[in-house]
Amino acid sequence: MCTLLGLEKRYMSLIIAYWIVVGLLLGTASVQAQPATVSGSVVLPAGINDKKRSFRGSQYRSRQTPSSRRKEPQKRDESPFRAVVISAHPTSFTPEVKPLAEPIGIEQVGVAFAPRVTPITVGTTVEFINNDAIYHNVFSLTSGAKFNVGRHPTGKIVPKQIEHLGVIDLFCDIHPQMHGAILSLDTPYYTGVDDGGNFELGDLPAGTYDLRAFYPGLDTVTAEIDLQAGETKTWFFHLDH
Amino acid sequence: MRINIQTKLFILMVGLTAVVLGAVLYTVSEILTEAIQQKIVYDFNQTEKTFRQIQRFRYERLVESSGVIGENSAFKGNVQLGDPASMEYFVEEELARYSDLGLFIVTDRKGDVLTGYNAPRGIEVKGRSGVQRALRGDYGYLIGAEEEQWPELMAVGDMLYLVSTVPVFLADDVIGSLAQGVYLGEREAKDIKGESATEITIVLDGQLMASTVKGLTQEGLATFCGSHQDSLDAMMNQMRASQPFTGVLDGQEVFAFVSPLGEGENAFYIASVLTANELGILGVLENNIIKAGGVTLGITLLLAFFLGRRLSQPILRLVEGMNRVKAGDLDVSLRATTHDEVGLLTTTFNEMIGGLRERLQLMRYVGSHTQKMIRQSSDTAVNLGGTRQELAVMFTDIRGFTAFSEKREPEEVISMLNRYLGFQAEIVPQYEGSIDKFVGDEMVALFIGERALERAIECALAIERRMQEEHAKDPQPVFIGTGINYGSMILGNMGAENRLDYTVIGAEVNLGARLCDVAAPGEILIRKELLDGLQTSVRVAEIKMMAFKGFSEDLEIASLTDAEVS
Repeated sequence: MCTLLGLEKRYMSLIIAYWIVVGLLLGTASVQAQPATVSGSVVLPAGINDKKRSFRGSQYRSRQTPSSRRKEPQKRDESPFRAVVISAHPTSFTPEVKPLAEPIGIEQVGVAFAPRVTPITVGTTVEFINNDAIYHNVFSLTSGAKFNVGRHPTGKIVPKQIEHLGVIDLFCDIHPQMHGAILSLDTPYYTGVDDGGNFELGDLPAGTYDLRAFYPGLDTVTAEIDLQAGETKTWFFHLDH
Repeated sequence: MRINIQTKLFILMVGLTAVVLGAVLYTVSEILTEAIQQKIVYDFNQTEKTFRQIQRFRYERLVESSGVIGENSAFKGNVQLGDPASMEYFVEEELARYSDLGLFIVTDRKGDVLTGYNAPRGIEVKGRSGVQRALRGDYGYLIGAEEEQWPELMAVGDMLYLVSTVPVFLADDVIGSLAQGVYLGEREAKDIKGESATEITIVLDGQLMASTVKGLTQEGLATFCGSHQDSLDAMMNQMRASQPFTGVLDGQEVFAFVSPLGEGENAFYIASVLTANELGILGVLENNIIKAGGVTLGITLLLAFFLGRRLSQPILRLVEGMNRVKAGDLDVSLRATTHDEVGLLTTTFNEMIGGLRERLQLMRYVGSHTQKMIRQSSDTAVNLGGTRQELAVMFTDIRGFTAFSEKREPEEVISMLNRYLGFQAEIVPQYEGSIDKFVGDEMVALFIGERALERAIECALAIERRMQEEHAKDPQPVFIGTGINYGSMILGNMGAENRLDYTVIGAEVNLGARLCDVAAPGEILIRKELLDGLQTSVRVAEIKMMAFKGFSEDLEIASLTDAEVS
């Protein structure tokens, strides 16, 4: 492809036309080899991100210290859909699951884990990165994945290999309002959703899958789907408590 | 019934005292009763407020504490993890070890119990409104919320807890609830009672939970609740403390009110004070007033006694004086000891008796016929002039008086004269005669009415007999001569308007005087013809013919002796 980029413009249309023709020929000749796609959208319960938390004792706090003097990192305003993970778990074949080659970074910024939910394949190493001007900590109580990385200052990167399969809830013992999750999956087929709640999970070999939609705090919804080669299926997830 | 002044005064004063005391006692009792009732209402309001406040503080503290625990990362992690064993371990090791945990129930986001410290295994709280509210992310009432809100109650086993249920947040998501409770029991009842007299009884589902009333039994409580079921129902329905009412708790009369303890359980408390204690002051007051009344009554009795005596004594003295006057003693003079009406009465009495005495003295100078005339006079004005009447007149005269008086001292003369005239004056009234006058040693007596002459003769004879008795003891006897006449004479008022003499005049009177003049010592002379008409006969010593001045013919005169009539 890189060599093609150096070609003159007038040849480009010819080359594209050629590839289209080749592609169509290939598509009709060997359907079995074509990957399938699942797309769709996710609906979250109304007001999931609208909750006004009234901290007990906030009255005292506001009485004793004017809010202008409080120097707390600004909370990031993020779409709740960013925490949704769609994963396809093959049931008709066993996929090859490899840890991700590169460590996946989980930032601690704005007194929150970013991203809030980090999907990985099991065995992947995550890196906790403190990007706030204050100390943070990361610990997990999840059975089989209990760890506590200790308190670490700004800029410190703490790697942690995740061998546990499933949801690992992440907390910071300094900031109880912080919660993050690592979704350690036994499938390489997963994706997030955009801010509109739409997703598209492509490159799926034909077969049967458990299609799951995960959102922290809501019941994970599982759908059994059967995908034919090259097929594109649309699925709507309605997540709720 | 005769009631004397002293008794009347006594009754009056005692009655007055009793009325005043009674009125004071009644008024004071009324005022005090009202004041006490106001105080009870005030005390009850205070108790209720204190209770509410203590409950509020406890509740607030619970919410605070739950908030802090709920914001503990490890706690949150365990709630999120949803593993009961892990949660239990956390509660035991991280919380119970370091603090005095009461009821402590953690649920997951679905309301299923993760752990229940001080709660039996398998406890279900999903249906509780507090848990449901917390799972919706609501903290329950906060500081500054309205007074009328009640904290939540939870009965676990036979224990009653004041409970706060708060949500456990993870980021903006509720991942569970935490219910913490403090025990409501003996200690709380005592706290609320404090040093006051208000007893606190905590009741759950009609069962006695705790009470500061010593020896209160379930039966005693049931009786109380049974007789005030309406108040209890109204209180629980309106979730509002009742008005104070009177009842019997554990056999003792009390003022009480009932108030809910909170929401979620059929629990309430009874605040009561013993009626006897509250109204005790009334008894003391009553006692004191009765004592004071007794003393006052005593003083009143003494006062009534002495005052009565002081009042009645002058009157009694007056009565005594009057009795003496009635008995004829006119020498009565009473001392006016007071300056009041009785004193005036006494003075007036004295003056009246003085007047009477004067009149009586005057009477001695006046003959009984004059007195009779005056008594019979219809008016005070006595008319001059007289009437002709048949009556007897008797003249006596001491013989040889002039010679006697010349030889003796005047005192001796007066003494003799008074003695002889004295018994004559005594004898004349005995025969219903009236001494008209004394003229020196001479006495004139009148006899009016029936048997006037007989009485005159008898009187003269009696005087003679007395003369003879006197002679026996008199070394130098004197004699009298007596003249008696009877006939038509003029009896009437003679003299001037201002100085009257009620006497007789006429020839027959003159004849009487002449007879007396001529009578020998010890002799009684009377016209012979008068004796003829007598019913009784008299002894005539002799009869002689005598000539008198103014009478043309000699008269036949009889000389009488005192010897028995022959």
